[in-house]
Amino acid sequence: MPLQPAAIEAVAPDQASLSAAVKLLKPSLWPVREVSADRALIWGACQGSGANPYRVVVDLSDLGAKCTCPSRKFPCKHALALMLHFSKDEMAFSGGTVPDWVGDWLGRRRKTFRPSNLPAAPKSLLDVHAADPEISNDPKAEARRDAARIRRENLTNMAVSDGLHEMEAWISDQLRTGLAETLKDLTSRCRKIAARLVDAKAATLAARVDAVPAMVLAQPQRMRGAVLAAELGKLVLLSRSWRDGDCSSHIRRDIVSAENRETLLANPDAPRHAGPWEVLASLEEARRDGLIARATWLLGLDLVGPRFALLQDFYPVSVGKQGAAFKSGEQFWAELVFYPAPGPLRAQIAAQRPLETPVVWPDMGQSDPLLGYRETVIAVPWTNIWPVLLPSGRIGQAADTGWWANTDHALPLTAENLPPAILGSELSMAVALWDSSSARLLAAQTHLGRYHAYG
Amino acid sequence: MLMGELSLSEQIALLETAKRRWMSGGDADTEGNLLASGQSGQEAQLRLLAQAAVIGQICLTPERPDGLTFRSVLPNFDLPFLPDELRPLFRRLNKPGQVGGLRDNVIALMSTRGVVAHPFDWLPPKDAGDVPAGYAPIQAWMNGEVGARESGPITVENWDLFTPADRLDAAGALRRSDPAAARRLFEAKAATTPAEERLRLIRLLAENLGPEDLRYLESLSNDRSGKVRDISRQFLARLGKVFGGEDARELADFVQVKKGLLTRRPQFAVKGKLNATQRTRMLALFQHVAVADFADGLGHSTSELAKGWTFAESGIDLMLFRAFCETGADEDLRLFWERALAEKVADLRYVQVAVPRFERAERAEICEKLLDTGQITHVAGIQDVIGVNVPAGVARALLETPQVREAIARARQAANDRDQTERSAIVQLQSLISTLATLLPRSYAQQLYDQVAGAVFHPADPALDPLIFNISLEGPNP
Repeated sequence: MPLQPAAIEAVAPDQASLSAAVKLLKPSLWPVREVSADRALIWGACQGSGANPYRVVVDLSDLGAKCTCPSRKFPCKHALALMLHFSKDEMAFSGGTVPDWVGDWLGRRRKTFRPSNLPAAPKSLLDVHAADPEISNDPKAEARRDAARIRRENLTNMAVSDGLHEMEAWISDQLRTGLAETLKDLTSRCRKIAARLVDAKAATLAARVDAVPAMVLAQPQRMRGAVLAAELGKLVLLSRSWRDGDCSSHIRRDIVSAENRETLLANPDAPRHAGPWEVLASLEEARRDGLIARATWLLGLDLVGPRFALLQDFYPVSVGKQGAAFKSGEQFWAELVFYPAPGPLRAQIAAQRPLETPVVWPDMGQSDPLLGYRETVIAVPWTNIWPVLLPSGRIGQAADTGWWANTDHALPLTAENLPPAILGSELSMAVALWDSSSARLLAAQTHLGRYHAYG
Repeated sequence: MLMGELSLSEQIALLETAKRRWMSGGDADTEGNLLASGQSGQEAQLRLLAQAAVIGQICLTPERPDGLTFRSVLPNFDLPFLPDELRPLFRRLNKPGQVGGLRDNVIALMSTRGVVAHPFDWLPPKDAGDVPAGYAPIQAWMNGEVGARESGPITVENWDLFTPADRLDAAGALRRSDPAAARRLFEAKAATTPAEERLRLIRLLAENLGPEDLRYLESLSNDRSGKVRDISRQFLARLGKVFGGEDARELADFVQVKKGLLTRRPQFAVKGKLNATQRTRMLALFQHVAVADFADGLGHSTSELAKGWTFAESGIDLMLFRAFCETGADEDLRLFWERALAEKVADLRYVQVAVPRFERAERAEICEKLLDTGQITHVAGIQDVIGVNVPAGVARALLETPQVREAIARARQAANDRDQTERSAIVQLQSLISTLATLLPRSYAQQLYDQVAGAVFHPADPALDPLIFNISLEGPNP
């Protein structure tokens, strides 16, 4: 039986959700829309304001739904939009094999099913357009808004400068009293200065300072002092770039905040590249500010063009586990728009579609795995993590530490359990994240096939 | 550039000195440093700190450590890998926290279908005793055994060239084809192996066990391993050796012997009703008294005991059957088994006890019969006696048991009613599916799937993953 709009109105939590859902009906926002063979489930990927698309599924038998967006409304606007899509045009949904993440949701749903007894508030698709606010075209009002924005920016810049000054004084204090003492109390000391940076509107820098203890304490005891000194030195370099008056967007991004998606996509100077990409890994990290940072690392499969891209998202811990937008090893065609920077890495997906045939890793033929990293550090000396390509080699061990090595180069690997099988593999190529002291293996092409460290 | 006339290594050394100073606290020396000198206090120190960070990143590269070692490359497997399209499903079934036993059963099922897990997805534990077919080379690699694997007939000369797993396979093949040669080989070399391996080798003597093995078995009564001594004693008992002993006499005292009214054959029965202590003692004695010693204590032969035993007390009857399995000759064991079947006392526990003595095909036939007559009512435990991927007759009988039929019916009812209070019926069916999914051959797995997909579970529900895996896994069916 076709899905009727009245049924969608009935499950919408409120009128605002319906209105927001209608705004998401542009097909270009939905690179994936699929239906199960028995036409009982529909699912899709919706490009929201984050870098990673949201995954949405709807069970058509009862319009139960799940979405990876952080909204607390149920069903959210993305789920409603997917239902609306299906009710308007079922043929736009291609037949697909039910993916694992949908199956997992079905399993969890079966265990916790509770029929809803909540009364429904009146909502109507007819009221959606009536609710749209009018946009003013008054030039004077626009000029007043621009002036206010500039005033806010200036106030922010002043606050940030003060915050950076305070951070440098704090760093000096650590050097004067001894980093050995700092290490004993690292978490609490970093927390305090991070809080000051938040007050100074330097949110991104505050998060970086908050992450210092985890980064340092993950190192062997003998290396912690050196790693701490290096990170403090990088913070000084970043601070000086700002205080010396460099207005580049990448500096502002690394201290204050990144441009939102709309601003980036509208930026004519933002580098773009369209082509095939492969997901190397999707990593999540809990931050001390109550957010989960999700980093999806991509490998460019074109012979020319950017080799790596990073899709970076944040969502509140309180929303609960969201699940990755992509699977490791997944390939797709996408047009990526990169945040402008001397070595562009962070990006947003402007357009995406499935790849029809798999693409093999191109011959990327780089002999020195740290060459790209050094070039980046020369341009952006406060870089702390960078993806590196490892040419053919093996993974061995020395005193309980894993090492990637070939006849010419060797890099220590982060202290995560390496599966025995990777120790017995011949690697023709690998990708890792280098943090100036160790490499975190993400994926490798081996004589046994593709290896993914995560997923 | 930044540090005047100093060479790079001198600059690095100075910066290392500065870092040491900062570790203990205080200002590092900035003299000669173009960037820092001329600046005062805090500014000079911060400039030097920034330099140290950059120099470290750009100029220093990790040095290959001494003692860096590499494992040998993984060997070729005996069987092909699981097809790529099934690997995600395998990983889901294999993740920690999965239903107990499911992971091992999936691995076993794959072996029967002629594939092994991809090493990135699963490797057998290092010192696992029983590894499914196809994993011997990888297990040798996990244990650090490198080099080409020895193959072909095993002899005294090439004994040490075999890996332990391959040695066992080759010795088993030799015992089947030339029992005497195998025995001579064990006499020469078994004592040089560790106790666990020696036990597995001696167990191979069960194949074609005969009087020619008596002398060797008697020599094993001095083996330093208690388990080897026990198994050799069992084999000697099977060959008719009577050890006697107080325990055998004590066990015999629990039993009375009468002459049958019609047949005049001796009839054996437990004396009266046993109290709890007596019962416990009798069961304990059966653990180690050979059936020949027991019969001898009763003043009769083992075949008379097998023919004349009165089946009256389930636990005692089962323990006597176990004694026949461990220490009885083939003919006596068969006699006793046929009588247990005829008296309808045989159930799954009997088949479990008989695993070392009855071939798989026979065990499967027995299970099918017992399932059809209702003497086996539950599917749990079937895998212990037949393994996974059971013959079609057993699969049919399993799906026709009341346990399975009623579980499906209850779950379908609960799914239709969407009644929260009956969700336990669906959970129970899910557990049953986990047990059955690796037991059934493909066509019967498909039958079960067709009964529950849609009616109880959505076709994509992870509860059906084990069945979908079975159905999708091509390969020989029994």
